[in-house]
Amino acid sequence: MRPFDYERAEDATGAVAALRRRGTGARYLGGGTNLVDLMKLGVETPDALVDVSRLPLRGIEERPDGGLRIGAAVRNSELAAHRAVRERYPLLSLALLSGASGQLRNLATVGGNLLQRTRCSYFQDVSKPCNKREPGSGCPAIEGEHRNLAIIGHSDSCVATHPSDMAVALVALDAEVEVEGEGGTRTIPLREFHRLPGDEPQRDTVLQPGDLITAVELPLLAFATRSTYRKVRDRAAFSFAVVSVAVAVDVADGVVRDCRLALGGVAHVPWRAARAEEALRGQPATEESSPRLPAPSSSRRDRSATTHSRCRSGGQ
Amino acid sequence: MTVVTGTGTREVGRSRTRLDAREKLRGEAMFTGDMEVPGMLYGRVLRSQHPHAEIVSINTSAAERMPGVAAVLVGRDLLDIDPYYGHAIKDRPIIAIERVRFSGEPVAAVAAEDEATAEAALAAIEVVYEELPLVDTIDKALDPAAPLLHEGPIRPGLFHGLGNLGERDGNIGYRYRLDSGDVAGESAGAAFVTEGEYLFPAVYQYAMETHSVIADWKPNEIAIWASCQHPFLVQAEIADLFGLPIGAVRIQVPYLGGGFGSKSYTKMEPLTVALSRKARAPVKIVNRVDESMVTSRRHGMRCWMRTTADADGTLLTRESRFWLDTGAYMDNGPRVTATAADSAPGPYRWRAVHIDAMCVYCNTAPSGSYRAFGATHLQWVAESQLDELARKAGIDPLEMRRRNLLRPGEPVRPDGSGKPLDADLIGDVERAAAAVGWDEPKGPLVGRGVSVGLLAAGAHPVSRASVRMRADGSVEVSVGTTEMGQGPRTVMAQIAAEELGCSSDRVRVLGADTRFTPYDRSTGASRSTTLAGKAVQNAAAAVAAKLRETACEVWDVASELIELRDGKAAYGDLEMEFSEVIAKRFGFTGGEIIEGGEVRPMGGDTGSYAEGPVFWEVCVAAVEVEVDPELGKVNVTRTATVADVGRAINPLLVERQDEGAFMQGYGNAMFEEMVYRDGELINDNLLEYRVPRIQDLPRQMTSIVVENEDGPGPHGAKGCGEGALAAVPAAIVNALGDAGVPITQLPLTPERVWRRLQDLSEPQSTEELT
Ligand SMILES: Cc1cc2nc3c(=O)[nH]c(=O)nc-3n(C[C@H](O)[C@H](O)[C@H](O)COP(=O)(O)OP(=O)(O)OC[C@H]3O[C@@H](n4cnc5c(N)ncnc54)[C@H](O)[C@@H]3O)c2cc1C
Ligand code: SF4
Repeated sequence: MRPFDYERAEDATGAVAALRRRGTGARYLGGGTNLVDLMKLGVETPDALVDVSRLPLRGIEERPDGGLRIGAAVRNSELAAHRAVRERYPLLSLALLSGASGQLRNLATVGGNLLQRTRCSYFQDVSKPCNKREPGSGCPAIEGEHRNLAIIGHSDSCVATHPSDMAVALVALDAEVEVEGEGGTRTIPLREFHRLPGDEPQRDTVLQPGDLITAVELPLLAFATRSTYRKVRDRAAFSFAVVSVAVAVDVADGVVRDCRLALGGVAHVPWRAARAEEALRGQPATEESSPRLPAPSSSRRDRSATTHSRCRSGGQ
Repeated sequence: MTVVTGTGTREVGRSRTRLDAREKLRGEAMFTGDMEVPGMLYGRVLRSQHPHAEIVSINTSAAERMPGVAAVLVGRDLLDIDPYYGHAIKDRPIIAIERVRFSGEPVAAVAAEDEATAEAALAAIEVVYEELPLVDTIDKALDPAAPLLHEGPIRPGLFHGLGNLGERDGNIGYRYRLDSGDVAGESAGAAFVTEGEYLFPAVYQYAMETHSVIADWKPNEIAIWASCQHPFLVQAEIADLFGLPIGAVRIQVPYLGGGFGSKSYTKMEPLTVALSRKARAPVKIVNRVDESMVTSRRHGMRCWMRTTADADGTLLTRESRFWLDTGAYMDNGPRVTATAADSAPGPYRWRAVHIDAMCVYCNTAPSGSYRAFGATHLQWVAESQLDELARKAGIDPLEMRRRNLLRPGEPVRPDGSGKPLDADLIGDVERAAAAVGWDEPKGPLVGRGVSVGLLAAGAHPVSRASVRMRADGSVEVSVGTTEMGQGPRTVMAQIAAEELGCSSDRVRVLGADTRFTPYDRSTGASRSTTLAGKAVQNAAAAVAAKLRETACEVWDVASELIELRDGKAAYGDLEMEFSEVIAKRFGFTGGEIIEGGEVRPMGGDTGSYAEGPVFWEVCVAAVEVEVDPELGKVNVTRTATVADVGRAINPLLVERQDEGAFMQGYGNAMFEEMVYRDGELINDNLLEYRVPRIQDLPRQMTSIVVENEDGPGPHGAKGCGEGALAAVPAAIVNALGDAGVPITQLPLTPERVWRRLQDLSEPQSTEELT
């Protein structure tokens, strides 16, 4: 690992200022569970870290509308265990608990989780080309190892997936990300926060250099009490999703009044399945009516049939 | 679950808490990585990223000039010694010489004041390679046009123990055949035949502690602290490499954080010694996980097998040809190959058997021992074929085994050589089957399977130990067995305490230090309790005899009348603490009693060891599975494994060993696989190399401890801890076959099972999916 400077910021404004002062080689440090790993691999080579894990952003507060405001430095384990989250947004709690391991969740922060990088093996191996790491160098995953990579929402330059479980639940809940940057504070809907790769796969999100995530806003969704998160993976713990699904359904008299559906492990972003939601609304709440997503014609996975089956079981 | 329990002993048969538990739970136990010696430097290794290449040049001058760098070692530093080692075949250079044969092979090593400097120096070394044609798979290695990975005559290592090693044949470095009877003739009239090709993945032992060594080379003595399972074998190999008498190499082994075979024989020790020799200072090397994954692993295998039976299910013939990928160097490949061949027939009666086992060089990292080696490779193939024949013949698989299994006393090897069967296999498999509800009704996509096999256990039966009673009556056992979590320090204390008539609390068992500890061949092959334990028992009995001798003199009675109990010598109402006995013996509050114990082939009370193997370890399991057709996921619902241990010195430890072996077999069958691409290991981390986690465990696991007091070890004990590993993959595969999804390749990932399900129901599935 390359030597680097370390600085602990006292508040959000101070953190933003520190990062600006230190220039393009500086990074915010949350729990470090992703960033430090990438530094060991030589994928990230920051010359300075501004520690934001102890900023006064560790609260989970009630919003007037009955939703929650979650500080960016809240640990994944704290968020999963929070009473209001467990009661009002069980899918979020389940999504968090399905990720990583107890020790990692104790360190990982909400801000860091949203910004964790893809698990594409070429991205993590500096001896290999990768458009996301080194724009223009090529994408070996398209022909190579892509079993866990995107089947939708990819481009000719990158087929990576966003690995976060938490973000899948949050995107289903229409969460918003509060950001502090050079121009002050702004709010970005999570659905627009992560980017499709297009021809700029090096940019995972719409954030500008120096932007600090300060909070995640969770609006009230009454029927989210009836929600769940299911994750298909190669073993029961310590494993990223092959595919995952976050669902909340509002059923009355055997009919789907409303629903939320998001997919993980399949796209460059946490994928909100809006068309599937649309197809479900007003339908009888039976297994037969669950949406059959067509296999995308440009599937990168070994077999579109596999894809199809995955989506089907996720959509139940 | 303990089936039979012995009586009449106080320490033996007691599930006492492990003596090392407290130290380990408090983080006080020392491992090699925790140790520091004065003046110690830190070593890092530059490893080749090419699986097969010529080394055109290595430029180390920039690295050597860096402040804090003490030495940079490369192949040309070893011209003054014969730098090739290998306990079976001397085919491996201490560090690459002119050529690299696997991705991850050490090419240079740096010793520096701290790790960061050593790491930075690695980056300053320039190596120019010229790539050579890649022989990364068994198929490529067998191609007659393939380049040869090794040439010249075979050089036997110090401990191959395999009689005649034979000649190399292309890239086949070792070959072992078993032949008995006329297969063609005997199978001509067979009613049922099964034949198939099977693939077994390379897997990693995954000991939590990576390979770690500190070496301090001096012209006349080499001191080593190492995470090694077999200190005495490493001592001899190091002495041989560096031209010193055996006694001038001192190896100390602290606790090991797991071994499972990955630390058997010589691993990182020669390189660390060579680096210390160049640096003229002690050097420590601790592997990263990805480095340990290219230091040792289990062989991948391709296997063809054909089995025949007559109309009533009586087995007739078995033929098998298989190829084990040993990687760039032989390591323990020959022994693994021979043991696999021994397991191929399984414990059945045959009219004719023909087994042809080949160990093949490839441009992959070397393979060595891994718990239950060989047997794990072959038992699942052999037992799958047995089930397939049973299905064809319409016979219940358990009944099929009752009809064909060997009975105690029958010869195991088809040629009749070696030790006859020393266990009740039919009883064992019936108990296991009952524990998973063999006769209960089952739903669709639910299956049950059993598997039975034997593993030649004990390795070479040479073990010595000493027991020393100090003036205060406290006891030290000195035995070469390595404590790596399996509990020998506890068990040896119990064995000694039983003999001495005292509590195991007053017994300390020391880690091996080859300067003082008596010789023990190795810690592996389920041998320690049986062989080293017997040596400890003999030594303790000799100490007990001395105590009695003195007590006789004091009380003037015959020695048979003296009882040793509760840390005292007793005769009727008369009692003397051991400390008093020793004081009487020497007439002084000092002195001690030290005695040795020995186990060797032939002679004494150990005659049966000469027949080989020391005992047959029983590998029996039963499993119930349930298949999720949508995800292809195999849920293992109930399992039972059998630890047929003769006598459980510590029943709790036996169960834990059995469960640990189960876990590894389960991982091997369901999750684990080292994935190579163009000779490079691509999942060399613990996230993508998937061992099962606690959440993956079956709903119900039963460990059946069988105690028939029929083992050659102390109190009728025989070893355990490997059998379940060999048995479990076979039982899972058979349960899956019973559920209607026969599969011939491991691991049984959801993807593989799902694809198989699609293939099995092709017409219907296409319709559903389009
Ligand atoms: C072995 C392993 C298994 C895992 N398994 C899973 C899994 O199954 N599912 C899953 O979802 N995740 C998994 N993870 C990923 C884990 O969830 C992330 O590493 C973690 O959430 C990142 O949070 P952090 O606070 O540690 O981020 P860091 O590593 O500190 O930072 C990550 C990135 O975010 C930036 N950053 C951090 N905080 C802020 C902020 N407030 N504003 C702006 N930028 C910021 C950093 O600069 C960095 O670029 C796993 C990780 C590991 C190591
Ligand atoms: S998929 Fe994306 S991250 Fe992976 S190699 Fe291609 S460009 Fe890099």
